[in-house]
Amino acid sequence: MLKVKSITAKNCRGLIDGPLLEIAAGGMLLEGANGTGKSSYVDAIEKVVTGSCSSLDIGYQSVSWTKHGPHLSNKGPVEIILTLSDGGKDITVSLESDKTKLPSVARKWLGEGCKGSFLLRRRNMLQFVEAKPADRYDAIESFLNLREYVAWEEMLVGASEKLSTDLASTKERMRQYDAILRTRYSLPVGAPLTKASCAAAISGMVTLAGLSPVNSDEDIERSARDAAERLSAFGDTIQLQKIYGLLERCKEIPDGNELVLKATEYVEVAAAFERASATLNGHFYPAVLEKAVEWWEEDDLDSCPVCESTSDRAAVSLRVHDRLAEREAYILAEKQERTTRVEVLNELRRARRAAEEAEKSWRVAFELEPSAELAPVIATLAKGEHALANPVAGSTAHELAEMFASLELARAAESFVASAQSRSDGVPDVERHKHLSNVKLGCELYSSTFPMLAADERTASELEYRKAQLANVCELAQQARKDTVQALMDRVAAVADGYYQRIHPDESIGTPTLKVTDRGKASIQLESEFHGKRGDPRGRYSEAHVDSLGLCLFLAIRRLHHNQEKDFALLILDDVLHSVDGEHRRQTAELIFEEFHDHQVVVTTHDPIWFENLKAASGRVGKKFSKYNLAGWTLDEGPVLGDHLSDYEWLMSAQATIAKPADKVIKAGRLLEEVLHNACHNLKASIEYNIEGAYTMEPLWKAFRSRSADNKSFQLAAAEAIKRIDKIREIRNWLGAHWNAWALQLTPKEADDFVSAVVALRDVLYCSECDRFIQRIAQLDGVWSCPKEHKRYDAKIKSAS
Amino acid sequence: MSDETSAVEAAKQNDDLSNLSIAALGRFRIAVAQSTKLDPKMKALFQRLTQDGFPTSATAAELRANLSDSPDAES
Repeated sequence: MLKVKSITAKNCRGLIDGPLLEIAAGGMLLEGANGTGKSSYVDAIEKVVTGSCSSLDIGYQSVSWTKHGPHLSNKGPVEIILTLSDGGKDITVSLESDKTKLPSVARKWLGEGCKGSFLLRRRNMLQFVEAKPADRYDAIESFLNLREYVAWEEMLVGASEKLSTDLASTKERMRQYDAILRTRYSLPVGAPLTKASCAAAISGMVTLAGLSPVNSDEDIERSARDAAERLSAFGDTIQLQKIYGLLERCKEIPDGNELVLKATEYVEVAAAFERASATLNGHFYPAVLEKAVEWWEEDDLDSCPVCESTSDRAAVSLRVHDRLAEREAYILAEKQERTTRVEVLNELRRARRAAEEAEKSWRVAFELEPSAELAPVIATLAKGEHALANPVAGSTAHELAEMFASLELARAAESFVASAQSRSDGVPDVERHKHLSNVKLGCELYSSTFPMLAADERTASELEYRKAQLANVCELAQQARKDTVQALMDRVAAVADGYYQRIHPDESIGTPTLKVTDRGKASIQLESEFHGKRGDPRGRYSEAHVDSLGLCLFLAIRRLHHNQEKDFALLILDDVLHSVDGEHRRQTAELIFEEFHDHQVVVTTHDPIWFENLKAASGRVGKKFSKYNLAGWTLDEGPVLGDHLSDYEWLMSAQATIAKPADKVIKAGRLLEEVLHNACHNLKASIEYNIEGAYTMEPLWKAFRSRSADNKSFQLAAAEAIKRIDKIREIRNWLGAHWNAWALQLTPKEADDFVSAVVALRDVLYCSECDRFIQRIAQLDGVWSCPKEHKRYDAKIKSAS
Repeated sequence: MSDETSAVEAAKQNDDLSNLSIAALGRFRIAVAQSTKLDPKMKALFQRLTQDGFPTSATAAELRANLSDSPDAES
């Protein structure tokens, strides 16, 4: 199985040029304070595996890999080298790798990685808990392995849509047939459209055409034939239609009487207007006149306020009123002249167009120039139109009067129609032709369209039925998918609860359920239990409990994904625990390595205590893990690797054997302090109160020494170590106080004695299997033990008997 | 054992969640066989289309042909 062997990067996030981190088969534990570059490595791995970086590609324009993927100094392109191995030849993957050219095992591994259930960051740990139900489904859909089934569902939906399209086009045809039939048989919308109603309409047509009555479909077919035979006697029906058109146009030529009346009226109105115009010479300012009279009367002036002449005020006022009345008459006459002129103009235009249309129809019907009667009339009408459209005061009315004196529209029209009818001699009865045509078309439509309409009605009915059936099938298909996902979610929830109960045993919380709801395509509702009450976990859980739930759900989903694709077994947890307390962190560490021993596990943390928990837990699963400490970070250098060993691990390592005596004593001193802190706390030793809360070695040692006397078994086990530390512990203080002088005088033997005594005491107090210091068991008074009693010290020593 | 019952039994045996597509198809076959809303002809069509696993483009064509043919042509 493919595993990550190493990761390094250049100019990437916080990494300027590595350092390269080797990742052992079991995984990697990476510890470092905030801002030392841990997540830069995680980002680099994710970017190469998935092609995106979930901490940057978050959908905001201001944050993206393009902008923030490169190192701040931007000294060159981002380079990431991820080395994969399945035990054989290494496979190198970079941002530039053409993934299609990678070995198939790597392509498959990367393909599974793209589905995104291998990396959990602190910032998105709660996403699944806090997501909307539909988004929860989307979050897991990519690795549910439902592609084939979803394709099947889409096939069904596609078939359903095709049925809908077929049905719609069938109904559109039916609508068109309906419209054609109703028009032909003059059936209003809403009236029943049946064979009977259509046959009744045909019967009426047959009667009008003087054919035999119809009583059956056969009669209708016969009537169609009869009408066709009779119509054939009419000869060239197209020519007939043209002549019918000409005769219809002739009917539209006005007789001219109305026009003459209107024109006469106009002549009179125009004369009246001319007379009114003649009365208003020069400029006329009604406002001045009105105001002058008003002021003259109101102020009772002796002379005219405009010309200051001493006139007869009453006479002047009367004259002004007369002038204003003359002006009103002028305005009215002008309006009447304009209105009447437009009416005459419209009449002239209508008459001219009718005459021109008649002439045009003549040309169409006879393919000859029309008879000459209408031409001079049309010219006169056009001239009149022009005169009226461009009136000239004093002349237009006279011109029009003269024009109408010579206009003989009625006579010309009569003569033209007579010529047209003369040329159309022998044309059969137009009305009869129309009735026979109606019968023919009505009968043919009945025979052709009705069967098609009936067939489409049957088709529509069948398609409706099939559509309903297929809708049932689609519903069953969707429900089958939801039920299947629900079964899986039940398993995920059960697995998550199993994980959760391992972290939070006997706390009456947990038991999450993931319910695939009936709404929409799919969504997942999350509920969980809190002391017998079920509901949204965010309602009652502490922050730490919600954190744990988010982590457990993610781990359960990772487990599910791994069940689907066993060749991808990578789990990365990037600084996920913040609010969880010490004991729960320890249990979380154990859970991760025990439950995911079939994965390569990468965990980063800023927390040195959890780092020790992780080291201890990973050490018990029999696999090799890389361990790194990032001691610092600078903009120019990037992360600085430090020493990842705890003081105890360092003292037990090969490094210690060649170290300077003073370094060993310092490490052993720190270890002793850590051991005493834990012992005093766990064994409830009474320590002399210190208001600052910072306890130095001496009060801790005294309290521990005093407390250890209460448990005989422990005292016996620890006696030698306590005795030796009592004797030589001062060297640790001396070293701290007088570093230079004592460091030079310290002998290797003195240092080794101190180290071995501290390590011996630590081994008596600490259970490496439980990864815990012993503690006083309240329920078993006097017993000091680790949780699983690998190390147990009874208060009294049992006798040999 | 009728064909319908044997299809249900076969589908139940396939309800293995390591491959959700197969499991969902199995559930679908059961649901179709047990449906009271589908007519026998429709049930037979969908059992036939899914009896050998996931439908191919050929079965998609068969599905379309069965559903979209005009009723007159089919009858």
